[in-house]
Amino acid sequence: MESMAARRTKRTLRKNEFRKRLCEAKQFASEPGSKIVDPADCVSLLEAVIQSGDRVALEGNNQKQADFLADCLCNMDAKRVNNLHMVQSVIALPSHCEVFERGIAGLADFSYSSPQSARVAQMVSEGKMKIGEIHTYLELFGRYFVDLTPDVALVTAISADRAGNLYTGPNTEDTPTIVEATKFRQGIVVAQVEKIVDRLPRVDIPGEWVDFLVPVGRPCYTEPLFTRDPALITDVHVLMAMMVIKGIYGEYGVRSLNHGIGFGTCAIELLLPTFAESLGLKGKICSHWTVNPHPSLIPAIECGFVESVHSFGSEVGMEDYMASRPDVFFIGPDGTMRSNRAMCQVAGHYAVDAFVGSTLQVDRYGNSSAAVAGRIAGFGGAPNMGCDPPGRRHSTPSWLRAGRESAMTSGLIGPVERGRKLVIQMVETFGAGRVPSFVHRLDAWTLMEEAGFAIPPIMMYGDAITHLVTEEGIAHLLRCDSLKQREAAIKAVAGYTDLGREADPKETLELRRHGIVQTPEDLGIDIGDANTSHLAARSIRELVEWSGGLYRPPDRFREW
Amino acid sequence: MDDRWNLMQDQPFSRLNARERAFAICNPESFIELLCPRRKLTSPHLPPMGQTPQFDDGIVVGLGKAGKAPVVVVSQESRFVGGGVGEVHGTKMVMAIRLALRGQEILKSQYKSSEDSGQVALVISFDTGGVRLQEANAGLLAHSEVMDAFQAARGKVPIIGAIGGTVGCFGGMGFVASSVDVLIMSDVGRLGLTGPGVIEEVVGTEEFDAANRALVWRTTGGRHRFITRDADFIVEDSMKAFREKVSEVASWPLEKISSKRIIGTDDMVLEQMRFAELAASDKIQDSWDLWRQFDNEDIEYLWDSDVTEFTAHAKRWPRGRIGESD
Amino acid sequence: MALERLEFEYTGEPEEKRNGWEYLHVGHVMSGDLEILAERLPAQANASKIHVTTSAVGFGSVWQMVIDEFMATHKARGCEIWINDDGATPAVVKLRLSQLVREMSAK
Repeated sequence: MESMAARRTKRTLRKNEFRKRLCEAKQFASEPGSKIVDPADCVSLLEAVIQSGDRVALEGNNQKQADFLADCLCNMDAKRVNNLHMVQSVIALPSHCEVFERGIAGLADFSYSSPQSARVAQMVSEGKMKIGEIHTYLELFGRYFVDLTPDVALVTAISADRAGNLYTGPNTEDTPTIVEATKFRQGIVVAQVEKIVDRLPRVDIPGEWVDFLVPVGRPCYTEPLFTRDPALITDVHVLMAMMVIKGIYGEYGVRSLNHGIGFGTCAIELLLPTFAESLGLKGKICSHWTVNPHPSLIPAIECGFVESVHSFGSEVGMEDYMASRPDVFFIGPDGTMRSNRAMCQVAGHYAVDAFVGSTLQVDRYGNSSAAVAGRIAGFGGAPNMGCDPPGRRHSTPSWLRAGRESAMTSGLIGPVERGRKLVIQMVETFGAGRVPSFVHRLDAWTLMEEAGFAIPPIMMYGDAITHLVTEEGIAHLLRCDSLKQREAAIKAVAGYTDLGREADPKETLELRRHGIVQTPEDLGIDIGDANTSHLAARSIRELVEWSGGLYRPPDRFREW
Repeated sequence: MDDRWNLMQDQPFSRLNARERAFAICNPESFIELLCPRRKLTSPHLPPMGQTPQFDDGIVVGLGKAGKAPVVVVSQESRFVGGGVGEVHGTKMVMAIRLALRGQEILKSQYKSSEDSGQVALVISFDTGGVRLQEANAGLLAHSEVMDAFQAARGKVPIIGAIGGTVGCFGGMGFVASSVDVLIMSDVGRLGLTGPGVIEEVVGTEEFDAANRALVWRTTGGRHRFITRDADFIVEDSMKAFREKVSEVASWPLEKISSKRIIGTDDMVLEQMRFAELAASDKIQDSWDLWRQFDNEDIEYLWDSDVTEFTAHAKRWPRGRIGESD
Repeated sequence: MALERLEFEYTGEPEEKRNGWEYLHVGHVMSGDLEILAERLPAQANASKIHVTTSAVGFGSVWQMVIDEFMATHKARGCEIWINDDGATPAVVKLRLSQLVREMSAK
């Protein structure tokens, strides 16, 4: 048993340690008592507040990035500071890899690394990066408050005042989560901001929680990840989108939902004011959204389809448009939107009727994965969106109907009624370059062997999927009463892939008769009429027109 | 048939294909396609290279009426090999120009005045990156034959160009489009010689980032070309807007149409050279600097306004006064 | 490098009703897409010929299945169909064929 004195020391050890570092780092403040540090002194500041072996949270997700602080981290002296344990949502920027290449960091716990997937795989194989675990965003955020609490957080905001209050604006994203986890365990918080102002539009992070401010004089890097040019939507996307709207949304009465970023879901959004409206579905489907502010949602919002949108992050160019629709978006008293990834992930996990995503590969059991051999890409938020949360207890009509149709549930819990979230995968039977999307063995298995993972990186497990939609039709997997029947339904919509060719035509007919498989014909959709002329907007420019000129697309999307 | 025509008038010109543009730029039920896909006049050069040919070789030619004027229509299809000009494609274009000339001669010989006969006009919708690389020699030759045919048509058949497709008009066809009598562009249309991607490759991304579409459009797009007087008219990206402007211009007397040409005399060449000198000078770092040279003040407004407002407020290159103002 | 050419032939009952089209054309040759030209054969003809030219070599058996299924569903007889393909997926091929059928019945 520890002595009383030892226990007392331990109680204050962490607090004293950080207090010591803060005192030392104060010499880099622009003037005594100030939290402001000249960008030129930022590397020295980091060398003072970070010590070898620290757990460091570097902010950045698939939108905003603490890019300046990431660069500074790379420029630290690896002899002085090394062996860092990085905990971060994404590995997206070259500098996120650089910090490992230079021997400053050694271990990474993260969620998503698609933009640097090949480099991450290579660093792992060369022993430069050790991966703790790959998480979903919610898992990682959860662990920030359990066993992965950061010692130092490097975050980004739009502006700050001298007291350290931060305005993170529409792209608030992960900042509150990271700062709260770090500061309430006495850690150190450093924020890069574009500028210091006298008065902030609103306070997103209280100044007491922020130790240092680095005004870098430019906005942080922000990726317009959710902007899809409607001109790139194909007739096949339109066909599949029509099937989802008529065969699933209309059928189940899907009111609340989350969409991924594929062109299939983009087509759904742009068919709401036209095709869905013509089916009389306005007011009956797609009224509440947990999605980023997709520009392709503008026509549906303007047509009165959409009642609310809560977002993980923002989208470049959507700021003025969102500010004009406080009836739809989450707008603060200052008039600008605030996103929050943790909250929106919770909402998308627990509070929606349906999730629709897309994937690269599906196996005969409906397990899907975007993993490719030689690339470590992670998961992001999709597995939390794309699953039926066992903890859900509130009901909606769609959830109840899906629960009643779930033919395999009673085999586990007996004759008890419970609902089910719809998890829909949209996938063309052949992807880019005529590569089959339906496979006997997922590449995830190869990646598992290569990278030494304990389990294959499956994005969504087959038991979570209620509907698989291809250009061949809809497989209502939830209606299947056995794994064998699920396999048959999957093969029935797998088209001319090797897996699809295994389908028994007689069995497929039987599945169609039971409404387990529906072809476009069964749904009353004429394939020959599926074309992009049905879209409410066919170019970025038409989206701008829908917004009344308030949506300002980034330069790379302006084609006029 | 009329329904289809009506439907197309409301569509963005940029979203329609070459055949739809040719059909809808003419009066309803007047367009007849010549050498249609059924003739299967395909490129002999593409198949040996493993490239699938297209039955119309990426170009639609035909006859119709635009307003009162009989017209020969040429319309390039950018979806097929980027609208690249190959041997068959080029030949169809050249033959269409010759057909317009021959048609004019016949009309002249049969009617005493053009008031009785009407006047044949040639309408070309450009949507091309220029020479088709897979058949570069034949493509280059076709370019010179087109220029030759333009010379032959000069003063006889008015030539109206239209640029409003997704590719625009680049490469050798940029020269051809600059040699028409009247050029109509939308702000979606682009006109240039070297394509943006090639410029980036040569001068580097720092100097010219081809992925920055706003930069590309303000350097080559319809708004800029209207201000620099490379384009005579800027219209909205709508089929109807293009059709109405083509019909209007086609009804002008030949002399008026020819007077819009920006090349063809020594003086005109000198003037263009003075303009080029200004554009290449140190004070012009961006197309917007050029706009400011011509006394345009609220650039952002011009950039974001619709075409009607833009046309009303844009100040254009004061042709013939460059030497003085400098 | 060379293109692959495939031919398919189907026979069956001649059509009862002849719509008013003589030739139809849909699509464009571009990466992942195709054009289809359909020409009317003289009346009484009950055979149909389909010619495919494609840059994606080695997919003959898939073409066979896609076109078999199309001919079984739509019974397009008495016409000759020409396809120029630049690597379209079966999804796109079926969609363009369906667009052709829609044009056929519209006229």
